Amino acid sequence: MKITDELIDKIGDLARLRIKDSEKPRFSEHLAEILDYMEDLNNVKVHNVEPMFHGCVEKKDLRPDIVIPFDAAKIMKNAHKNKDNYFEVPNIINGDDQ
Amino acid sequence: MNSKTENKKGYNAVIGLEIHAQLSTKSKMFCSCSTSFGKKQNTNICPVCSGQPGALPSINSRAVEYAVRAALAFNCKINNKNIFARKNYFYPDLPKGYQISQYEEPLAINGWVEIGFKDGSKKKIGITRLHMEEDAGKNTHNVNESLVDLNRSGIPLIEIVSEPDMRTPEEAVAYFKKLKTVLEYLEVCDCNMEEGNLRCDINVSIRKNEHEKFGTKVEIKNLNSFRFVEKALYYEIERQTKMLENNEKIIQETRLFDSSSGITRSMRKKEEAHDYRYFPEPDLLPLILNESFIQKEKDSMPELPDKKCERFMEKYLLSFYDADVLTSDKDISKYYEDLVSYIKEPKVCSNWMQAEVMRTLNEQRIGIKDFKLDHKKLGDLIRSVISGDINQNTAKEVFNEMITGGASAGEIIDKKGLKQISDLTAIEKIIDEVISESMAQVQQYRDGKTAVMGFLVGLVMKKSKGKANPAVVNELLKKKLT
Amino acid sequence: MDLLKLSIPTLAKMLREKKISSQELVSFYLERIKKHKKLNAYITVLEDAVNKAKDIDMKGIKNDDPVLRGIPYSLKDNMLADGVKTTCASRILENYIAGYDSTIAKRLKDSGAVLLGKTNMDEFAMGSSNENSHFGPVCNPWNEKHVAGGSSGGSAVSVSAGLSQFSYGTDTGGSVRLPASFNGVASLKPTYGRMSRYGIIAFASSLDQIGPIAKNIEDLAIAYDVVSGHDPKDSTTSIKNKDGMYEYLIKEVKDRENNFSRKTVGIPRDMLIGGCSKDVLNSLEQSKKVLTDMGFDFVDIDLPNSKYALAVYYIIVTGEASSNLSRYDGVRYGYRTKDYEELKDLYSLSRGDGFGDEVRRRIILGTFVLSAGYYDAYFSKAAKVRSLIKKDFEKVFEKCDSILMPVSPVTAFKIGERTKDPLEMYLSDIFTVSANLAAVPSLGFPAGRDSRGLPIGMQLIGKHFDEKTLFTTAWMIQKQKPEWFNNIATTVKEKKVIE
Repeated sequence: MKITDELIDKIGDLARLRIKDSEKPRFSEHLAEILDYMEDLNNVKVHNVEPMFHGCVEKKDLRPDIVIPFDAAKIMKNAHKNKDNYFEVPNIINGDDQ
Repeated sequence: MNSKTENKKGYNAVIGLEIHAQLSTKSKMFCSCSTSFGKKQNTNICPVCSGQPGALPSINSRAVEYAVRAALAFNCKINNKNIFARKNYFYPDLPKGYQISQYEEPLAINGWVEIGFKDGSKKKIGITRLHMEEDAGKNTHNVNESLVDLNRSGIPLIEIVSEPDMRTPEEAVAYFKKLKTVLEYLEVCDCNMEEGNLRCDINVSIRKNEHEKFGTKVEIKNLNSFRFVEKALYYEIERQTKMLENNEKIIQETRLFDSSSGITRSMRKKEEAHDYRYFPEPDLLPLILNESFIQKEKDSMPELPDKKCERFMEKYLLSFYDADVLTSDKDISKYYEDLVSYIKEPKVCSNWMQAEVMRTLNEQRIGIKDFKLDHKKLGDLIRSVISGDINQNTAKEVFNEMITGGASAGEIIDKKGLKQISDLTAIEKIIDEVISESMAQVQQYRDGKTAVMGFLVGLVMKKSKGKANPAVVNELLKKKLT
Repeated sequence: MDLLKLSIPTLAKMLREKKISSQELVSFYLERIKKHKKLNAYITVLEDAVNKAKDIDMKGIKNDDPVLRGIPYSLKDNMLADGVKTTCASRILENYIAGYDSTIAKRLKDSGAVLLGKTNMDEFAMGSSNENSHFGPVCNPWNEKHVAGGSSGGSAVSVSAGLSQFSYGTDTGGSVRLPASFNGVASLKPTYGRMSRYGIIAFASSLDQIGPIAKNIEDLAIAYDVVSGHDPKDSTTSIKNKDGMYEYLIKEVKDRENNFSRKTVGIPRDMLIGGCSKDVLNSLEQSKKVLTDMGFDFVDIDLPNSKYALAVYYIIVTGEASSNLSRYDGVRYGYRTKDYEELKDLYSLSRGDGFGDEVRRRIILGTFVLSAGYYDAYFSKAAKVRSLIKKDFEKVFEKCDSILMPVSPVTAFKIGERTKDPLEMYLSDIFTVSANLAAVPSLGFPAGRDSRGLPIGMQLIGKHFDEKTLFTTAWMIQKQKPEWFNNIATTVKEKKVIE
């Protein structure tokens, strides 16, 4: 499969992951090689085969609806920017996102 | 059917709603954090709902029970095998970078609810699917930065997606209201719209006639009041109509309703739409709901508004409209039934409920639970009207005094001496006095000017300080004068 | 007395008889860790472990205390321990302090075992050689020019170089068994659902399992016993009863002497054709002979879909990983770029700079296989072929009780040898990924050396939740071939003892 820079850009954008222009040829080449290897799967017939998405399938009791408080300070301690106990990000109200 | 559905320019709207309802569990959907509202930012959080490395979700059993109850109430088919899925996108209020939701095998599909109109007509609105998911956190915005509070992150939600079955803003609101009523009856959602317990996304398109295929739909996100839903729809239908009239092309996009200006604004075009990369959540095994579990939930269901409305019509001989109004709020319906069982007279009770009581609730912006008079206090008042102790007008005065002060109906009537005089000799005595003092008017009456009757009745009432029973006065006076 | 040769039960006995203290034991290992720093096995060393050991000594170790009380161990640095730095060998978590205990850390803490530190690994457990660490590669103590194997290279080396009594890694596609085999130590990838993943930094959730690493089978059994079993915090753990494996083995030895029931072992001959080094194939025959001599039967088996396993594996793991790694966005914790004005830059640059090459490659690949238009052809297709692979195993296990095969076609390769071609590196997992895909258990054991003196590892793959057969079989091999076990690289070297 041919991996274009546009595809790398599109995927990088979806994954919010910068791939520098200088890195693109290398990424494209590796991806193409791996995807070619995966082409092998085209040889497998999977009509009426149930996909296996889980490692374990069992019927189990669910968690009871009980409140167990957690010391939130332990979480906030790792916050990079923390204003009045909020997590802080650039203003997004006028942003392009979401 | 609700009046006519096309607007002045002859366009028909096609409306579908996606309602998000927070389930009123104690703990969150996938962790044991409290769901209580109004706590200091980022205090009801733990490794799971704040997306710490290594944390794993674990399903709240009560959330599943509540969701199943809702699905049953909306006449859905429950899937025995439920798959949770990850909906992947980046946003600061989404700590894991994905929302755990349901996609291909949701909790329930193919349901419906019925909405009713004033004229007694009804319409079925289809429900495409009902699934479970987790709420996101909340962003607030300063000039330079946005701030993220994750207290809401992970609160259980059900998303209820309707068929595009609604044709007018009124129908949309009626549908939304109906869902709210049912959820309240089920006690699975607090339905406090100001706190965001219940939120609505709208899909709306327009077309020239019923038989055309649907036009390009526009999504309006995150409305949390009935009024906003109605306003946003009116605005949007108008906007789309104008565009089509001007031969402009409607683009598929997401818009936001600005409640201060009453207009919708473009937020995201389709081409920028997210590719959510849904896939089955590997951290949660398929959830198997067996028939016995579903049956248990069925058995524990309370009487729902449609059934109760029918029963009210049958048992209390109310019109559909009256029964519908009285059953559209679970607590009001209960109050009404208590009232009826206390003093009988269902029709009189219904009138009182719909006039004085609901007016007061609206004015005071409270629910019936916070209403000052319990059903016995109100019942005693209505009883004194029925017994003829006071008349309807006096009763309204007494009612107003009861809801401001603390006294009972009896106390107010006694203290103010409001009890009607129905005693014939006492009234006769006053009438005799009035006749002797107003000979001129009496003569006029006898000459055929019967209109003067009102004046004489007025004098009697005045003399009795309003306490004379007007019906009795009328009758006696007529007798005396002829 | 050579402490490095002693097993956990022996140490436990000595601790109870006060022939040694926990403090001495912990200090001994901390000293060794310092001395062998250039192996780069640890990312974080907990000097405070001595105080924990002192505490334990003061309170005393009673007979009915858990067997691990006072015994030092190490954890791969993708397992959270409250208050301890957990980096996942990534720049993006370089300064992350865990705010809670993983279930494994909690269970070990409760057992009284003493945590020495957090071991080096491939970044986010993505790698087969442990060359993808933000903190540099881990060296193989048998030959420092060679890789330790990955991704749990630090954990394997901490055992093989005598820098810990036992350790835990995570195995998504061979990440415990491969480094253990490159290091000549024993390891287990349990049945999916045996081990709680709560507090383990997820790589590919439907495949990840914690696995113990130890220098002999009894230590491995004890290490497995203490952490396995249902955990309400991990919905994917099984409610099946856990087996007290160590107790069972002790009992099994007796049974074996009396009435030993013969078992059948399968070998997937077709899979092994080509690729395997001669030394590895010879070693396989040796293991077979050991078992045959003890009365085991052998059959040739066929796993027809295993040839697709690697493709299926890399689609599923990258898909899941691309989602699992979304939370590392610089918002709530972890590395945040200084170079941003908008949210999008905050995300893209923090992630772009915070993740290493291999991690980014897998996120890109995983995002691709899940994206609109490709999901059916890749992710969904792979999940279906995964079903077929699982069915292959079920069918094979109608004929045999376990499968014997090498962990890897080759022994530890040279550092840098495979880094240029990711696909070639991926091929290192060719014999290990199938067990993860099928969710079946696999026990890796050391089986001698190649001509260069590098360890060779074999694995026994078993039925779902049938770790017992694997442990019993390996236990018997250990009885017959004690020289394959309890080998510590640096001791051997220091004493100039060459096999």
